[in-house]
Amino acid sequence: MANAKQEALELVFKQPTFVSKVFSQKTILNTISVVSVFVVWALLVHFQVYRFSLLPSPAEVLEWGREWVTTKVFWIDTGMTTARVLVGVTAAYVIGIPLGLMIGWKKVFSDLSFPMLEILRPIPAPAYLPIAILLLPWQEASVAFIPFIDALFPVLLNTIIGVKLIDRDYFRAAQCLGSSPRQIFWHVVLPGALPSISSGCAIGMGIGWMGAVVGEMITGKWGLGYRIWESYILLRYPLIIDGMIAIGILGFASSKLIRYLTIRLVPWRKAITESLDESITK
Amino acid sequence: MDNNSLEQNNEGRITIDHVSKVYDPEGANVRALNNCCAEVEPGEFLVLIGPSGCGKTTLLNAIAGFENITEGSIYLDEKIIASPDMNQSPGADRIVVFQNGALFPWKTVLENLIYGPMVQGKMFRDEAVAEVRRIMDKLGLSRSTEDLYPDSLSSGMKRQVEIIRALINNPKVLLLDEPFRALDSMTKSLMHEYLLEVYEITGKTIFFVTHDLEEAVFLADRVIIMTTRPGLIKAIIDVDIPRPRDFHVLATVQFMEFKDRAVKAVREEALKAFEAGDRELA
Repeated sequence: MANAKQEALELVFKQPTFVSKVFSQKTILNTISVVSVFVVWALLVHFQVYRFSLLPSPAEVLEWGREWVTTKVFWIDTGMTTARVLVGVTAAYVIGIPLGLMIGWKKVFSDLSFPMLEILRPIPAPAYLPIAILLLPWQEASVAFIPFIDALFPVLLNTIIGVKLIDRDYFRAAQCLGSSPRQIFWHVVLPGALPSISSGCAIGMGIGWMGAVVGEMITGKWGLGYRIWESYILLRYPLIIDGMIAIGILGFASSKLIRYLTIRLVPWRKAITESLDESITK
Repeated sequence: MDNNSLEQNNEGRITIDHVSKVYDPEGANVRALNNCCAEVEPGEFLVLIGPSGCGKTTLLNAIAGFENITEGSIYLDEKIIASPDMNQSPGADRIVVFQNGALFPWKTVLENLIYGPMVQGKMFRDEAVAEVRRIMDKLGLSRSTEDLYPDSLSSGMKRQVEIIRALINNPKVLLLDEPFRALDSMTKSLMHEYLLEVYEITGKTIFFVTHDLEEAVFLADRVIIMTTRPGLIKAIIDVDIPRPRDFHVLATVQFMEFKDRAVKAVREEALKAFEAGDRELA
């Protein structure tokens, strides 16, 4: 009896071995997707197809990149850009989430602010830059203003949608059980919208990186965006691509990080799979 | 809450006095309830039955305080709880168990159960937890479910938790809005027996809305049959089947006779509704 159960368990929860992990279809396809880009690029440059002769080859980029990461400039650039993204995106969270919760929850707020936000939304973030430079006391703030604007709208809209999608019965149940409006906010509106807020935050973080780079290309003396533009002017082409790769990796990693952190805030989303684990192992 | 929180009492009389409700979206003037009069005795199990769209949920929502009425008044014991010039005011003296369930998915079973006493400021957390555990034992809900999230419970168990979440607050009446509609028939019959057991133990007034005849006759002291739009009360059937009842009742001649009477009354209405082709209103 016990043996049969053990066997059944092993069937259900066969631990993947290291080898089977490495050779899983997913890993293989993921590897192909990354490697093929570099292969095609190398071939295009090598055979000088069209104007690809102007571009550096992957080998050159690698060589330059290796040297670049050992310099102080690289670390200052990376630090500056990261700081600008973090400041801008955090400001977007701090303003976007509460505002979105109120707009989604109370019709008064929605009627009051939504038309204006809809007009502001299509204006691209760099268009705000001159105003930001005029208004904000120091240049760093105006660079961080671009990732802020860029991240604000996805955070705001996801929060609003998150609230709007909460089932009406949860509000009614909370009222039945004797909640005040304030308690409904903390116990229904906020937790109900959290899954959607969490996606909004991850999307906002990704877009924040784009915004920071654009800002640095226009103004500023440091940062990955500035370095890319400078490399173009100074004909250090391999460094352009190194900068692009650095931004890609950092943006990807920070989005992942936000997802990882926010998933802890919504533990009920995993409840189904976890209890399944439990009921099988018990 | 004192030790008698689940004892029988003489409270929980609902008086529905000439209640009408007219929905008037853009002058459509839909009469959902027409001059309904009924009285639910303290400690009575009353089932309101009628075809889809006859206004039974509207009546329940009016009692719960989710929707206003346009004529008449509703009393709970001596207190007026609904009239045309009153604001909607749900309260913990009459708690709803919802058709699709409204346990907060972001709270564990225990957090859901202590929610009412906590937000009402009636108890400290420790007291509320102790009270919840006492009632869980009394009403046969295993303590091993305490830390699970609702989505990992079976659909029947979710209803069980929701019924207990309502009873913790010692409401005067329990309003059930087709609570077992979404359950499969096996689970449904188990939940019928469970609800009867809870009813025997607590002696609460129960106002139960359904369109399932067998369910109605099996559970009720009295079955009220509602007509299609305009929703008015057509017939009242006293179900004199002795309590406590269990599933054996379903096979008795007596049960069949009551069911037959109800079928005849409801069939006419169902036919009318069918021919009118109206969509469900609420």
